[in-house]
This record gives sequence, structure tokens and C-alpha cells, in this order.
Amino acid sequence: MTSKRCFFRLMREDLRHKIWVLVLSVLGNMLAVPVCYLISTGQSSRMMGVTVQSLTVGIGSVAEFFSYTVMVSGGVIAVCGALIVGLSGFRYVFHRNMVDTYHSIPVRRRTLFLVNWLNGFLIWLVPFLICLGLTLSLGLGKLAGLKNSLGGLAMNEGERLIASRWPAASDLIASTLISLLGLTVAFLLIYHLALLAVMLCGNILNAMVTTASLGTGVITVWLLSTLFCGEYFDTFVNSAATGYRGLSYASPLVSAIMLLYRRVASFQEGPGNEIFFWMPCLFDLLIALMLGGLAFLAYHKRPSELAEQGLKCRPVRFPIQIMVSLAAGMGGWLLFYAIGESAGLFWGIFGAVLAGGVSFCVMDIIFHMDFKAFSAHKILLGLTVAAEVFLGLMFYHDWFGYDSYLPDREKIAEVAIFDNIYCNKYGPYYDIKDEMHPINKVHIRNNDGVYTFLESVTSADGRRQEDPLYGTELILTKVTLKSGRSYYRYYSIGHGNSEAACALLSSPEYVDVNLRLKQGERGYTRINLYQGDIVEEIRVETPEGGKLLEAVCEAYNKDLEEDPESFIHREGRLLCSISLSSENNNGRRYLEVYEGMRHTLELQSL
Amino acid sequence: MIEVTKISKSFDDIKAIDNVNARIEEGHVFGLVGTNGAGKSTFMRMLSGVLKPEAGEILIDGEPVYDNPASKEKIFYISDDQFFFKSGTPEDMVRLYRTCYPAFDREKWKDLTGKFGLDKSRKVNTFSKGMKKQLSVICGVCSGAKYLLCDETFDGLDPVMRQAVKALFIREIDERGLTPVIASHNLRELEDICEYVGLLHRGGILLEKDIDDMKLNIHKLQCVIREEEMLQKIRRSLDVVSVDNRGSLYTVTVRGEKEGIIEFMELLNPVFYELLPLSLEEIFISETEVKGYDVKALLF
Repeated sequence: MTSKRCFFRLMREDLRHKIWVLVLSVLGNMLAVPVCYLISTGQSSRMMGVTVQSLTVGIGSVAEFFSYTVMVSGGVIAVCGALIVGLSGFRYVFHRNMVDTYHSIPVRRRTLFLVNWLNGFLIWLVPFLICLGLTLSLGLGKLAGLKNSLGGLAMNEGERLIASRWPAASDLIASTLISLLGLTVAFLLIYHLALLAVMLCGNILNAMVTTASLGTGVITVWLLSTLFCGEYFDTFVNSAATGYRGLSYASPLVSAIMLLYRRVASFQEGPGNEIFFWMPCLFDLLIALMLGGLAFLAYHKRPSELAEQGLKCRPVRFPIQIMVSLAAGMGGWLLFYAIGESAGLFWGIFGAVLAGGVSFCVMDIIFHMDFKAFSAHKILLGLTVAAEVFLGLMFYHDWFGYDSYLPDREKIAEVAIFDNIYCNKYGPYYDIKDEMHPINKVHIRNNDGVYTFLESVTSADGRRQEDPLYGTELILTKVTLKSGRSYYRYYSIGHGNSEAACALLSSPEYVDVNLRLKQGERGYTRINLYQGDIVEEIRVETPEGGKLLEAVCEAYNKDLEEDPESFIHREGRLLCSISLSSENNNGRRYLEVYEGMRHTLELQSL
Repeated sequence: MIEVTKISKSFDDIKAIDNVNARIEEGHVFGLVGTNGAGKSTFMRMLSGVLKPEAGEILIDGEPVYDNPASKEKIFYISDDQFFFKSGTPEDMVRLYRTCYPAFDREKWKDLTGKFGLDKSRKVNTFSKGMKKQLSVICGVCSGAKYLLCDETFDGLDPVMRQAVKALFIREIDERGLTPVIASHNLRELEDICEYVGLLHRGGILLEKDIDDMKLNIHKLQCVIREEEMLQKIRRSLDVVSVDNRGSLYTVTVRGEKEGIIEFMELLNPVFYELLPLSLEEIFISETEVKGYDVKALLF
């Protein structure tokens, strides 16, 4: 018999004993793809009347399924399927008598690996492809049907434009293929992770624990570190926390789910955003291939006597144990610190010792499959728990010098600041790293003013500022160094350092981005005047409204130019407020009018 | 031929096999004897390519066995806890073996399962321990493998089945030169089937010999003697291995040819004497006592 025939016969024999997994895969994919498609697109079919709008909704629901919905429903099946086939496909390595049979038969180890690996992959892929193909043909049929019903419809110019933007059949197919790629990479990532865990361990419990640890450990420790930063660093900016994207690649379970999310996000953000999917997809594919290679190597080197043992490989066991203990210790610290109000530090240390120590011992029990092994590595246990307590204390006392960090004057390139209170623009809201966020549009390069401000907010007194009127005001600050690196902080502003802050808040760079009403953005449709309990609304499309808008913007800008500091200090009485908004809710301006704003007050309508 | 050269294997701190050499000739039945924990299963698993030795090599007809399908096709390993598919039937097992062993003889399998009274379509998890052993042996014989490695296979078989399996082995040895290697802790079980026997103790082979050679040259002499001087004459003239007595009845284990011993005893003319064959157990005890081991402690 040729080796190829033998290979396929082995595959067939192996598949006979994995029928239950195949049935689950067929059932799951059927529910996740065609059934889900019929449910999600069936709702739009109930819209009455054949209009361009109803057809657009119908076509949109079809396109949305193959780019969005299938990533969710299919993603659940892919993730669960990968874990099930990964953990059960090579179950013979967990049982001594099965290992004796499979490793004594005249088949090479690499052939055994390939047979089981391929079967596991095909068990998910084939039913999914069949279901997806069937659903795609339904989708293409519906798309053609909806477009054909346009035939006798009279359309205006706008409707013709809308109809021209409907996706073509090729767009639908391309979108489906991209989703297929994303789901396949996500599957392979988790499948190979589970396989690697199986090859390192002697039983299913150890394999599951190792899968979970390797799959989420790194990102969990990072998340807990971020929580520590938020808890103990007064100047920490949570939304600017970096590293989660890169670190997610070190946590394949999380990375797979993030890849599915990125596919969905790239669809929602529209064309031109595919790069946010392709690059991570490529990285994830490389990592999946690497994990697969490691799993193969681990199987090849795996001693048969590992069956029914725990996790014997020390270079793998100790890092996992330490990582889990570290995460548990950090979590325990935070939990008990939060519970123990008055003696928070004591309870934090208690939580770290308890959770870190117990989890370390439990991992020892699991890895050795012996309850007596809970104290098998006392020295390492002691060192790990001590490290956790030390880490907690480092955050608690800020031994990193995070809050007081001040770079050398000559290294600073520019500073940007932002405070909602000293801004008259509201929405749309952007991520802090997005270039549309106001903090990234301000570039203050006045070195003296900048350094004076930074010195005042990073000094010991500056960090304990409290304004008697407003309490502690936090100003978001972005410092960019000449090396190109930048960092974000929330600095406290109060009596002692308000002058330095005011100098930056009233700078032309800040005022221009956050206060000035620019020509190009005056696409507002409504003006609301608030004076006490009186509210007056004026539509801009009316002749009076249009003139009022222009006048308000001009007057406000003049007042701003003459005395920007008065806007920051809010000098005088608040006489009224003016709100400028548009129909599409794409941001609005809220202008406070004080006594000193001469030009704005002179407007006839006021 | 299976050649084992200086193989060693440890599990954590336990040395399971320590520098073992062995030679298993084709066409003969090799028995591997040892107490629990002696290393029999480990040795068998290394012969079958399941475990990799830390040192030394194992050659099957000149080829290494580990991860080598060409060598493994010549071996069929029956472990002490043989695996069967959960809810599977004998047919399911045969399908696996036919895939891996190209020379699997399906007709012979049908014939043997019929003769042994095993239902091919019945689930194996409903079989008794003995029936499962029978099934394993039948699969091994039908696989066409040259070497059949049986790890405590005869345990669990009733005396009738044991004889039937032995008869099957003998037929296969005659017809196609099958070489069974049988590991057991029961010497009596191996006595009437094995031609060569090796004693494994604490990971090392203490003794490896042809049974017939052992039996030909060692005898148990029971005699009743009146004078102490007669005993001294026996000690001086014969190659005495051991002496045991109960009153005036002496049991002397002697080496040498039977005729020579009889001739001597006729001349000595004791009150009574009788020359008896030794069992395999008694031979082992005698041989290993010479090497300084208390084999009674090892085997009983």
C-alpha cells in the first residue's frame, strides 16, 4: 500500500471515531450561518412597499451578514470548535494504553500528527464552507432579486445615487472571502494553541489549564497592571494605555477574538479601513503557524510515558505557574484593597499573599496531579509571593516615579493640553489616540511656558492641588519629546499652579482648536438661546437665523481674540448661553456669554 | 533477530532499565521473567518502539525500531492493558490493524475468532478480560508480524484457553517462523512454551539461557544416607550446587550428565536415591543463588 493511500485510510479510520465532533460541527455551523442569515435578513423583508429605501435596507442586511453577523455567529462556532477539536483530537496521548497502541503501530509519528491535525481542521472547515457557500448563494439570489425589483420604479437623482452605491455580487463574494479568511485564522490560532497545550501535558485538565494560561495570561497581567496604574497613579490616563494591541498577540485566545472584532470594525468604518484588518490578520496567521510548528515539535519530542502525568516540562511549567500566581496576586491585592477601606495597604498585601500563594500551590497540585505537591517548590513560592508584594508596593508608593516624571527641558518638543471645561465643543467623541481628538491638534511649543507648567504640575505641591471652588481639576496633557515619543497624563490644577495652566489654556494654539469658531465648520442648523428659564430656538436656514449665526461667530471670536484669559477665568456674571447644533448631531458648540464679552453682548438679538 | 545493546531507561529518579543486553533469535519462544516493578513492561515498550531508550540501541533485523515503520511492521505489541475503541467491536480494531499492517490476514482472523468463539460484532467493552486477551492475541497472530510481544498476556486466560493459545503459537512458529516474546511474572506458565528465558530484576537481566540446556545439565538428587561420610563423598565427586536436608533425607542439586550421576550413586549405594528433573523455578533459584541473589525473595 502506498503511503498516500495509507494516510487517507488512517484519516478515514480516525474520523470514524470522531463522528460526534463532526455532528456537532455540522449542527453548529448550520445554526450559525444559514439559519442566522435567514433570521437576520428575514426581518428586513417584512418592510412594506417596494421603495429605494426598503430595498437599500434589504440589500444592506445581506451585505451586513457576510461582513458582520457571520463574524459573530461563525466566530463563536470557530472558537468553540477549535478548543473542542484541539483538546480532544489527540486524546490518545493522555492514556497509557492508547499511547502503547498508537505508538507501536507501524506509522511514523509525523504521519499520526498530520492525520489528526488535518481531521481536526477539516471537521470545522468543511461543514462551515458548505454552510457558507449555501448561504452565499442565497444572499446572491436575494441581492439579484432585490435589484431586479428596482426595474419599474421611478427614482429621483438622490435615489439613483443611493442605488448606484449598492454592493455588486462581486463585492459580496469578496466580503465573504475576507470573513472566511478571518474566521480561518482565528480558528487556527486557537486550534494550534490547544494542540500545543495537549502536547505539553499528560491529561485533559492540565491541557485546559495550560491553554487558558497561555491564551490569556500575558494580557491579563497587563490589564491588572493598568488597573494598578489607575488606582495608584494620580496622573494615569486610562484611555492612553498602550501595549494592549501588541500584547494581545502574546495571548492567542484574546488575539483571535480581537481579529474577529477588527473584521467587524473595518466593515463598520467603511472602505479604506481594511488595513486595520489585514495587518493583524497577517500577524495572527504567522503566530498561528508558529504555534502549529511548536505543537508538531512538541509531539515529536514528547515521551510516551508522559501519558496520565501532569506537566513535566519545567521551562514551560514554571513561567505559567509564576504568571498565574502573579495575576492572582495582583487581583487579590486589588480586591482586598478595595474591601479593606481604612487599612487598605495591609489588606492589599494580605490579598496578594493569599491569592498568589494559593494559586501557586493549586497550580503545583494540578501540574503534579498530586495533592501532596502543594508545597513542592517552597522557595519559588516564597520568591513569587514576595515579588507580588514588592510589585504592589512599587505601585502603591509610586517607586517608578510615574506621577513626578519630568523630562529634561531640552528634550521636550511640544505639549498639548485639553480640558472639557475649557472647551465649547461637544462631540463627536474620538479615542485619545485618534488624530481627530482635540489633544492631538494642539501643538504648544513655547518652551518656557511649557516647562513652567510641567514643573508646577509635577512638583510635590503641584500634585496635591485643590481648587476651593472646583475641587481638583484634571487637565489632560500630552508631552511630545524630540525623540518622537509622547506620553499622556492627567495633571491636577488648582490655586498653586493655575497661572501656569492658564498661560497654556489661553495660548493661541489652544484657543484656536478648542474655542474659536472656524469658518469651515459653521454648518449648524439650529441656534438655541438660554437666558434663565427662557429658551429660544432659531433655525439657521431662515434669513434671520443665517445672519445671526454669522454675527454670533464673528462676535464671539473677536471677544476671544481680545481677552482669551477672561474665557478661562470666566470673569463676570454668566448672562446667557448659546448652543449651536446640527441635524446630524455631528458635534455642537455651547457658548457661555459673560459680562465682559462686549461684542457678543452687543448683538441685537441679545 | 532482535538485538538489544546496553539500553537504559529512567522515569524521573527511578532507573527502570539499566544497561540491558539481550538477543532474541528468530523462530524461538523467548520468555521474560521478573517480579512486579522489574522492568518487563518498560523493556517490552522499548522493544515495540513506544519508549525511546536513553542509552543504547534496539535493532529489529538490523534496523532501529523507534519511529521506524519498516521495523515496526515486523512487531505486534500486546500490552498488559490493551486498548480497544470505546463502544467499538472487534471489526473496528481489525480495520485499524489492517490499515497499518499490510500483511494482515483477514481470512485467518475470521477463522480464529470463530474457533475461539468470539462474536465479531459484539462490543468489546462487553467482553471479559480473558476474551479481550484472546482477541489481542488473534489480532497479533493475524497481523503477519514476525515478532509478537506479549506483556503478561497469559494472565486472565483460563487453563483451556491458555493451552489453546500455546497451541496457536506453536503452529505459527512452525508455519511461518513467528517469534513470540512473552513477559510474565509466572515461571510455571512459561515453562512448557518457552525455549529461552531471561530473568529481569531491578532493570537488569540476571540470567538468559536456553531452558533445555539448563534442564539437561542440572538435576535434583534425593537420597537417604546413613553416614556423614557418604555426603562428603557426594560433595567431593559431584558438582554440587546446593544441599538441603530433612533428617536423613537429603535433596542435592547437582550439575552434570544424568548417566554419570546415576553411575556414581550406584557405586555409593545409599539407602535410597532418586534423580528428579527440576522445574524452571528450581533451576532459576539454583542458578541465581550462585550469583548471590536470594531468588525466593525475588519470585515468591
